Amino acid sequence: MPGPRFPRDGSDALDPEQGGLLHGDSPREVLLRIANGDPLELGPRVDAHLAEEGLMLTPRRVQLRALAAVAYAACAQGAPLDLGPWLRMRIRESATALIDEDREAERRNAPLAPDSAHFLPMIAAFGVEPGLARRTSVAFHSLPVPRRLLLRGIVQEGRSLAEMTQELRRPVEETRAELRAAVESLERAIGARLSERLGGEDRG
Amino acid sequence: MADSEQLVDPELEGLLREFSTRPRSVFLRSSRKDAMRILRSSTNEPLSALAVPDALERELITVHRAELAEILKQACRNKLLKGERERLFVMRYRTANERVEPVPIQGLRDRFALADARNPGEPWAGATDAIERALFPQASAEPSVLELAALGERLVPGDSWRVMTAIDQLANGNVEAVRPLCSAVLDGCADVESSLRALETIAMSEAIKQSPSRALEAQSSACAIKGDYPLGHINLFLFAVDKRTALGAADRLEESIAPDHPLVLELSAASRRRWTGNCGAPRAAARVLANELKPAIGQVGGRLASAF
Repeated sequence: MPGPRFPRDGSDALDPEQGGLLHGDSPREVLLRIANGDPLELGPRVDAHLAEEGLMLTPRRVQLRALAAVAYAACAQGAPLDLGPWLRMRIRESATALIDEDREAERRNAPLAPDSAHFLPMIAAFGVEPGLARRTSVAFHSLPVPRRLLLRGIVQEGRSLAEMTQELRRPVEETRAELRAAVESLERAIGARLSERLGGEDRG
Repeated sequence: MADSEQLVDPELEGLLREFSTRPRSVFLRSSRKDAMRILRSSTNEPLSALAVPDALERELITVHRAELAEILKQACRNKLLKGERERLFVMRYRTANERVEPVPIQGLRDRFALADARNPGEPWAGATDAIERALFPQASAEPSVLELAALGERLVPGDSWRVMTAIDQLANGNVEAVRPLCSAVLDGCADVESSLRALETIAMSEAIKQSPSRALEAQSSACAIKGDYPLGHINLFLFAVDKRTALGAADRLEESIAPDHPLVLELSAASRRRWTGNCGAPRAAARVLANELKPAIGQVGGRLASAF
């Protein structure tokens, strides 16, 4: 499966001659510009971050938060000299904040939104009931990065344990043990067995 | 061809329409009396954002609130890293190779001034007033980490407030407050960093309470999360109640850090100062063990044991 498209460098977004998207007097003014048609290519940048960090958040949700974070930071700090790393930082902050919010919402047992759209990746990948989706997401995102990458590769990208083993350049037994530990962590957290789509015989 | 109005995200149109129509909805008041209750609770609602219907405006409010919370967080860290008692418990190292310096208070004030200037409207007036009071205190009423963290927890609930408060309480002699705060972190699928800090803080509190086996248990759990990390092995060495644990930790330390590494020197000095102040001084059995093992614990272990 091809990875996310690499965004262009976006340097014209910083150039006042080209519109200077990030120059503005208020976060709302900047937001108005950057929300219209995704000129900063936040979409592919968010996809790339989610893949690199093994996150399974809804990309649109991260993008919305990142739009606000970018608009706010551009006004507070001024437009950056180097757009790519600066946007990556905003996206990282946004994803982390969303994960923290989900954790706190789960702790206080806040009601889920009726359509559960935020947690569709969990429902699709693990086959959990919508009512368990947020808890599954919180547990998944509490896993160390290597385990998230492994699990995401298998349940979201549809790759085999053999492919993941090859990519991670680790002994197959080690990969299998990591996968088992990750799945058991999730199962403990949600108090339910996960569906067969988690890897079948590959779980070993 | 669509005109420019039609190209604008409908949610954004809603945002623009609703400019300047918001009621004053955020108002932070956090008394000292309520601070601990707030931090021990896992049911704190973040303020106001959920009441804002438009998606992008809600995100803007959340981002602004997160910036205010980050300023408060840095203010707490500043106190923990610089406080006379606190710095005996908080090392300025995230890892052996990554030193953490407190953000200068002027930097925080500048950042706050920027955030305040970017306040997009009425909803934040109460919050910024409250934070201003916290960051620019009258000399007679400087807010504690506990008060700042309680304010932060109401702005953006999260484990970092609980961990910082636990460390603050530990440093200020309220050892019994540590476990409930840290348990609130560990009971909720915390991220790796927060779990690690919570377990280390429990370990230190148990050591101070003269419960070395519990201290060792908590630190071992931290090491299981983080894997090999020098501070973990230093703590295992200091909390060790048996030869095997002490020698194992000493061996790992010898492989992973130099005896004159600033982390080793600062931690030895801080331990000595704590113990001199009668705060969690090692029991006689631990001193005997350290003395007995002296020839076998290497240079790093020897340096740490000298604090005994």
